Amino acid sequence: MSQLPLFKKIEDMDHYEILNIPLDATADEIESAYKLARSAYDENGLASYSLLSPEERREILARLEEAFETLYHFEKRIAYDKNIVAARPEFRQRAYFRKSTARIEIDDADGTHLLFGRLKSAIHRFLGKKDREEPADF
Amino acid sequence: MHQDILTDGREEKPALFTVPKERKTIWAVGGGKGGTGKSFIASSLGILLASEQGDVTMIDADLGGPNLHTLLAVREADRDIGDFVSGKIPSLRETAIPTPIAGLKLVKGSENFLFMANLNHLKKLKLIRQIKSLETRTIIIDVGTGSSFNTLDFFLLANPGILVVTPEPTSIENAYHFLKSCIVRVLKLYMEFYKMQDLVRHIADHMENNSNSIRSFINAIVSHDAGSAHLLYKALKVLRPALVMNKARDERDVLLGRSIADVVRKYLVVELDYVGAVPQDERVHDCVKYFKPYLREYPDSPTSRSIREIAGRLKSRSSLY
Repeated sequence: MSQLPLFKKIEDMDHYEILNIPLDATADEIESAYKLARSAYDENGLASYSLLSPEERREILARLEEAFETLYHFEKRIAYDKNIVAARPEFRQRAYFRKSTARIEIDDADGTHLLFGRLKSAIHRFLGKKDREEPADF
Repeated sequence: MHQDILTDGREEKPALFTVPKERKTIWAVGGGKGGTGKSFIASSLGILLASEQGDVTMIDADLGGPNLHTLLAVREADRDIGDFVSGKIPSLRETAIPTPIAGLKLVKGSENFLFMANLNHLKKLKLIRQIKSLETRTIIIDVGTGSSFNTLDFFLLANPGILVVTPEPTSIENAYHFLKSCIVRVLKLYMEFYKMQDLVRHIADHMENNSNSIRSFINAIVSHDAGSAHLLYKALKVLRPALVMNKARDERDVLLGRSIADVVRKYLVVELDYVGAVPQDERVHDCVKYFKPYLREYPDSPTSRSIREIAGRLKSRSSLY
């Protein structure tokens, strides 16, 4: 019953939900979330103390390993994302590229924006002004 | 029977969860275990809000051993909450006494602990109604220790209820027990209100032990009765308590709060808002010892700063409702 997110079964949660990270999490964020979750659900983890049965603990630890192994490795993550995109309408497949790859940012931009930017730069150069518009922070 | 009293047939939900007519903030501080600093957090929030906006009333509903008055430097009081419950004073408002803090009144807890701890249901409901109708801008309730129905109901009438834990297994264990009791209480009240008699019988057998029973109970309802699942979903979505990690000593303790919120969402099917950690400070003990409110003595300490941040987050939460 996808319209009741709180009632979602753990076995139905995707890797992002298991690690409690946004869909555009960076590799560092994935690693930090994994370490934090691992320490929470570990046998000696204070955060899950007294609440989980041994079976529940084994299950969640296995899910955490699988989620980390998949999302931390670039190719595996791309393949996984393709599979869950239908189930997560809010999913932005390219979100994490934008921070790292200038080329994809340019590909994403529409033609009007590109043309306007080029014209603006040309005018600035013609007038001898320094083009103050730096590329976005990648 | 609870449904006879907590539901009167006119409301759209159990009476405990109806919103007061006048716009006011009601916070309740609880958490199950004694010694976690619930009364310290409650009194600090009260002092802070009184200094910012005035018109705050604190209620010591610790029915087993009240001590909020000590933290607010109130040494003597000629009336307390017990006088209202026994009928000696007709309204709760009249039991509120001034404190040394400007803008802050206190309904002192009763020393007659046997009488108060066994508060019967009718009297408790009368008390809850009076709390909701108090003419004050902000009410902060110290609900005390334990997970009895009386304690839970004072916690549940607030928005939000604030769960205080310390980074120790005993505290976390009791906090989970307290939360599970809250969940069962909310589900039972809704199921009785909507006359889901089969589920009421089922819940008693099903949900007394570990987290798995809560999840499996919810999953069973979702699979077999979508209508009931929607109603109970609404009830649990509104529950949404806040979490404060008190006596934090390092970064790991701060992160522990975040982990607890994650565990609760996954295994207890409620949202728990982690509103911050309060660093351990030995001077708190000295302040209590000498009847000096800590927040006034050390307003710029990391502990006081963190309490201000937590109050800010709680205010944002309350303004949503």
